[in-house]
Amino acid sequence: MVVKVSKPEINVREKISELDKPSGTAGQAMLAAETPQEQFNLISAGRRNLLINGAMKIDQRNGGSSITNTDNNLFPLDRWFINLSTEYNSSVSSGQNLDSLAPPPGFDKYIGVKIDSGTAAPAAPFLSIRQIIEGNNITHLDYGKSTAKDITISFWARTNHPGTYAVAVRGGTTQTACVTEFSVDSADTWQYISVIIPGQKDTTTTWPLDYVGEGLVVNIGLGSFQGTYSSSTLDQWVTGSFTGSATQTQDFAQTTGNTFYVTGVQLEVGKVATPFEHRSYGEELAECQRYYQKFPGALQIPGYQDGTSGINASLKLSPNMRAATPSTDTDGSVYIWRHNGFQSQNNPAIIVGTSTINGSSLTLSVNGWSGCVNGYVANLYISNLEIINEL
Amino acid sequence: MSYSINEYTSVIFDNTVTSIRCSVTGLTIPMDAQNADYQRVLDDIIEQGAECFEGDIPQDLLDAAEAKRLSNV
Repeated sequence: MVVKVSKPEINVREKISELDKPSGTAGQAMLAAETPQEQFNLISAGRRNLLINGAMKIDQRNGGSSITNTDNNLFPLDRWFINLSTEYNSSVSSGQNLDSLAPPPGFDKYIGVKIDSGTAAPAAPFLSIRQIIEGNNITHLDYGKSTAKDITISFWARTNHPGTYAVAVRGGTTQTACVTEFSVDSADTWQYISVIIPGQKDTTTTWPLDYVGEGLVVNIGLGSFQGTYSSSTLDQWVTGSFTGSATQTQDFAQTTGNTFYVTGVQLEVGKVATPFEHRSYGEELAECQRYYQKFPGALQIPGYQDGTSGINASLKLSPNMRAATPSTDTDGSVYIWRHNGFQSQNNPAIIVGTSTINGSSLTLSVNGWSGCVNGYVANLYISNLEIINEL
Repeated sequence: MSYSINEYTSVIFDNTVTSIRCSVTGLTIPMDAQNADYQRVLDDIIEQGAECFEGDIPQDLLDAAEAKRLSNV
């Protein structure tokens, strides 16, 4: 018996040409991945940005107003501060949406830095936009191990002073840093920047785990780094506290009116800069409040009288703050109401009791009162209280 | 780090230094090594010595500043 089988015609040439159909770089990388974990990393699924307030939306301290950087390490925005040499004090201003420019697509806020008074470069100058990532949040980078992961830092930048600038990262507790350069090509135009920092695989360095202190210090360097803070070695981890490159633009801070604007800053695992991870405003605010909380207006806290001159009160924090004792500040008077009347002090020290801190609440003590009766109740009124627990 | 002469004072309660007061920033700074402002006080003591402090620098603070200077971190 003969069985006839028919098959549809196949155009062999067509099929072969389909094999050559380009899959793109991303597709090829995905096909080349050997494990699902590698594919997961390639597309950077899940939460990605290790930086907080990368879109520059949160400004609890200044409410969107710019500040003059009269001192080092002042915060124009939550989590972001300006690290600058003494010589640049009061010659730099910074703030949210400084100069009211149109932000890049997808953003409505940015951080701006402006040179108000050009200053000749001192011997070892530094000027950078900085955020410090808590040690707890970088443990998955595996730094100090052979399995250390590469990271990518991306952001939008704009300046009137095109040239070569630098991104530098260094360990908070280790004297090791990696500096890489980037170029801003055109003046007064937003430009997307992306740099890769290799994993820190030096097994002789120790990176603390479960650490509420400085984990990774991230700098966007605005020039003038000749001296002890500049690295001549790029794209490698080297010993030192470097915050910039020896070959980057050196004269940014020397000319009055120079400006640098940044937004959409993202630091993520891997060698690919993925689109910026926009988090909700509430979520981003809560992240910032781990390090800084402000209570605008008069905060009333019930407490008790301690001895003849002290008032103690307990303040519940929400969200929990970093588990270290915070600094405090108030910009005005502190009042007490108690059984025997009212009293006030102008800007007294507000002491945080170190024995009670656990991140969720803290005990505040204000001393220097008269006529207190030990154990009696008292209400404490503090205007514009700031609880500061930055890194 | 810049500083002013007599920028810092000890806040004393019950004969104990409970914190440090900064006259420039208005901050009350705890004696906690994990506090960034406290670390800046140490840096100022290392760089400027007694001049940045009003009165005697508490021994705990001097010891911490010396330890930080030696560790060079």
